[in-house]
Amino acid sequence: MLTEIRKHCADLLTRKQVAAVYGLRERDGHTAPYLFTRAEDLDGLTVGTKVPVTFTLRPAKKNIISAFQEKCPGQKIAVLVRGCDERGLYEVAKRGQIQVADLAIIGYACDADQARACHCPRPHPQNLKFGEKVQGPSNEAFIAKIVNMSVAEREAFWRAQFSKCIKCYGCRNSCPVCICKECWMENDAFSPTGWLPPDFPMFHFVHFYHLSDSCIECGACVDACPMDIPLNLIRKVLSKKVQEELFYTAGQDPEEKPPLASREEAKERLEKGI
Amino acid sequence: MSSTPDNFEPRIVAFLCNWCSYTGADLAGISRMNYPANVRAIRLMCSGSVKPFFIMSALHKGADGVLIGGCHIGDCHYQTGNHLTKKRIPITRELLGALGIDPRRVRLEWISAAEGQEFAEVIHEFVKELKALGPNPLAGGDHAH
Ligand code: SF4
Ligand code: SF4
Ligand code: FES
Repeated sequence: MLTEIRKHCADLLTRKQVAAVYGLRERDGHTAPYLFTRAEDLDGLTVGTKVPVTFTLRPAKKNIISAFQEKCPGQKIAVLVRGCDERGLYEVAKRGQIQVADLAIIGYACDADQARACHCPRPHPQNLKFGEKVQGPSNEAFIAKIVNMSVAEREAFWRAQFSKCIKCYGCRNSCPVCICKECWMENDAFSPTGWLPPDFPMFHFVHFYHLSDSCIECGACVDACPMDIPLNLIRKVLSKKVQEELFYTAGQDPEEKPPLASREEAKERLEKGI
Repeated sequence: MSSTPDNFEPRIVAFLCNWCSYTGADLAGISRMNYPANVRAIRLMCSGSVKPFFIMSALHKGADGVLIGGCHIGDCHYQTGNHLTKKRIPITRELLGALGIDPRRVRLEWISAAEGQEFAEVIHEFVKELKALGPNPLAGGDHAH
């Protein structure tokens, strides 16, 4: 698959169909997002790692695509995406961060092992060009662990988990869809500077709630957490509730409005039967 | 809850919108309707201004229950403010439940300016329910304020 992808991208660049190809590059044992402008660099192009392509740059709260589009408006770039990457692009597009129309989205499927490692329910993009679709593991089975606990057991479970938190902000900083310039997780009224571990559950409540209708279940926050706090247990409970209650799944359609932040189509959503 | 002392009086923080629910609560007061004195009312312009963070914060600072009161759907003075509320509260309650905080501590009610009686009934019911739940285990937080 990798050889085909490289060839395809080289074609796009040499035929000048795109100004650049945005994907992952491996160099000196490290993998990071990279904007390829020369076909000869493409032998460093890699796929299938857990590094997200649409991560947010701090402190500017932008991503590489939005930075590019600001500098070179209207120029087309190709973006190599997995399912989660594509969902992330759509979520930031909904919030006016990038122009999807100026992107050539080239998707590839993750295999069953990768899907399992990320607990990913949809391990393939809509713009699938390379690889075969596989079924992701079930969220239901994954969240059963906390769903089956009593309220008091859950409190004890999360108190123990969050007491490990060192407030490194890794969960927030790694998130591809977390874009607010002013962050409530830094608000002293909620979680004063210098208090460790943060008070249960204020700091984490903000993270969970504020991404509840934009979380694309990429797992980047869990991977980033140095204390192995299973943040995705709650993420997936919330995604399910948002689907059931608001008939909405994040990352499906860049034209949709995020339900918890939009007044415009509140009425229509309500008329759908809430 | 067996550990609940008999004299436990739950503290309720009520976020009420200026145009309907606060006026409804006021009506209950000026009509001398009988309802428990467990409510601390906070007046906001619209139920849509109640951020879920405020609800969490009230619980964290010791409220045993949080009531959010707004105009009935269709009557919001900012047209769709309460539509936002209607979407947010179920998600907030789900999150609280998943974290191990009883979601019954958070209640959303549509109370119009004329519904003083309804307001009093809601408070009666809520106090009863919170007495059964017992004191909020989060009260006071882990750090002294
Ligand atoms: S899984 Fe974590 S990092 Fe990924 S979108 Fe959701 S909150 Fe953000
Ligand atoms: S990544 Fe983990 S340790 Fe760091 S702030 Fe988030 S939950 Fe806390
Ligand atoms: S003004 Fe009452 S809910 Fe908006």
